[in-house]
Amino acid sequence: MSISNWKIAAKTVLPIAFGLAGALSSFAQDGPLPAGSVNIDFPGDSPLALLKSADESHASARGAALAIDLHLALTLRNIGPNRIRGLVLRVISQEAALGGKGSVSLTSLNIPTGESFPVHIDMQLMRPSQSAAGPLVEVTLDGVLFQNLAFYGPNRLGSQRALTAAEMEAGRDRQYFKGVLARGGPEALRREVLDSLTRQAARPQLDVRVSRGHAVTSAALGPEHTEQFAFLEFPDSPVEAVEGRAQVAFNQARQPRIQVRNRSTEPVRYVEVRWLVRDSTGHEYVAAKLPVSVPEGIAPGQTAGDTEETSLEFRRNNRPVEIRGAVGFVSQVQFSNGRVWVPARRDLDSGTLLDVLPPSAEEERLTNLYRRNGLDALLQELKKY
Amino acid sequence: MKHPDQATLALHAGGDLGKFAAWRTERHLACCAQCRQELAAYEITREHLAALHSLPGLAWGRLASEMRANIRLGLTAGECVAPVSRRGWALWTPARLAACAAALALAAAAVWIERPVPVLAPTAGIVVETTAGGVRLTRGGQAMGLLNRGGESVTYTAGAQGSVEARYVDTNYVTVNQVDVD
Repeated sequence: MSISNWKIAAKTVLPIAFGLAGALSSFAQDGPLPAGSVNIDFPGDSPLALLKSADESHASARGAALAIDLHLALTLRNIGPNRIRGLVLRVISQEAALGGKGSVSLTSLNIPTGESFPVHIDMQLMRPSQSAAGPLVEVTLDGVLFQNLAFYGPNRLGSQRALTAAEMEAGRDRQYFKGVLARGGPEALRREVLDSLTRQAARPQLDVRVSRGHAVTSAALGPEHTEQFAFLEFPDSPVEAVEGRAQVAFNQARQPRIQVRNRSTEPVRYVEVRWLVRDSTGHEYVAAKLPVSVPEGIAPGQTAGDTEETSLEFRRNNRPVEIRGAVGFVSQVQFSNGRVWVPARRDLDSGTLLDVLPPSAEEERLTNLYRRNGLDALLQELKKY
Repeated sequence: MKHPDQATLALHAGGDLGKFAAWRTERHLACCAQCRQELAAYEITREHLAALHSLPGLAWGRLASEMRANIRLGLTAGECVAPVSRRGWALWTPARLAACAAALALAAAAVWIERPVPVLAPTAGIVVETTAGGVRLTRGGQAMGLLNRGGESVTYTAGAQGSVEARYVDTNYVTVNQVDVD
């Protein structure tokens, strides 16, 4: 073979070889994340100390993108003077998803001073391979709630309200189970827990997709119409929902709007309305939480409203669920002084609401404890409170 | 517990399993957090692969054009240098061998580049949604997801302001993972 022939061969084959090698090599990269990829930052005066942080994260290239699996196992210790009931960690990925924000909350805690406990954060990120340096994920403390409902933290995510509401519901449902035990003994408690587990197993749940901004609606969904909410009234609710509506097309609802009136004697700064939807067969499902946030406060007797520029799409078992009706009720109120109201158990017990709503976090924890460890374990747990 | 293999999970993520196989896989996923995580990873990858077609940095079109030009050059050059008197043997000149190799490589590249990609529903801007393994935010080709860990029963709740949360019991306390659109 002459030299010229080799040159021609090289000219022909090499660009192809390099092109293919470049494309294929990017699929072969895999490895642990470089140091500094995860930044965990707790303030100096935090009631929580980070004892240990185990990181089993790794990244793998997929085409022009980098897929990152983050598995953080943190060990935290309560170094404050009070028992911890809940905490919220803020998780931010500035680069992936252009500022994607999330949180990992732990509720139903009962951590005394000096005790350690684990927190797991499992994330998946997908971002372009070519990206600026810096931490991929930042984990910071947004708030800690103590047994006496005192709160510590910057509260950027509204953690104080969310943790306080969870603690109010926890106290309510523990009291309910204790009442059943006091009135009917262990067998009555067992029956109540089994009823709850049955409801949990039978409760239908929707898959939901929420998008912000202009919604893409398909002509196949049919014409859009305004769906008015019907409201359930609880006698002791400090706030009443007076109007609610959403633009609905088959399984999509957009621009939900809610208006509430403060019928208490104190100013209110946050109201949450639980939104249920009914499908074509009459089944009801929890659709979403609708917040009305008025930082300056809704004065007694005044009304306030909020429209969300979002679109929600509901599916069940991978099939769209047609929305045929909407029901709402006030599920949480925060007064301007920070106090939080949640519905009483007897209100939720009326009608079929208890069958549709998920149990509170505490009810789910206690019934799960019974399922795993039996009645004695549940009785011991209730004695702790 | 016998886990579905990777191919089954990948097919399930794309909705390409048969009805019975999909039903069996769903039954397994309902009680296996590990496989739900695997499935979530396939779903993210699948969505991202669809977005790769529109990534400007790859210039697939330009790469294909360069390949074609080089092959034509190789063929032309091969014809120019081939000795006329030894035609039978000249069928396998280095240049022609190179051209054949290049054509095969081009065909392989074309199959790879033009492989069928499932058509995805268009999404408007930022989306946060429930997945088999947790809650995920996607924006263009980028994604961020919080995965459920070990919860046998997960309660998902949407926030109309643009968030989705997943709640589950983890040993003796309750974990709530929430992802927000902004």
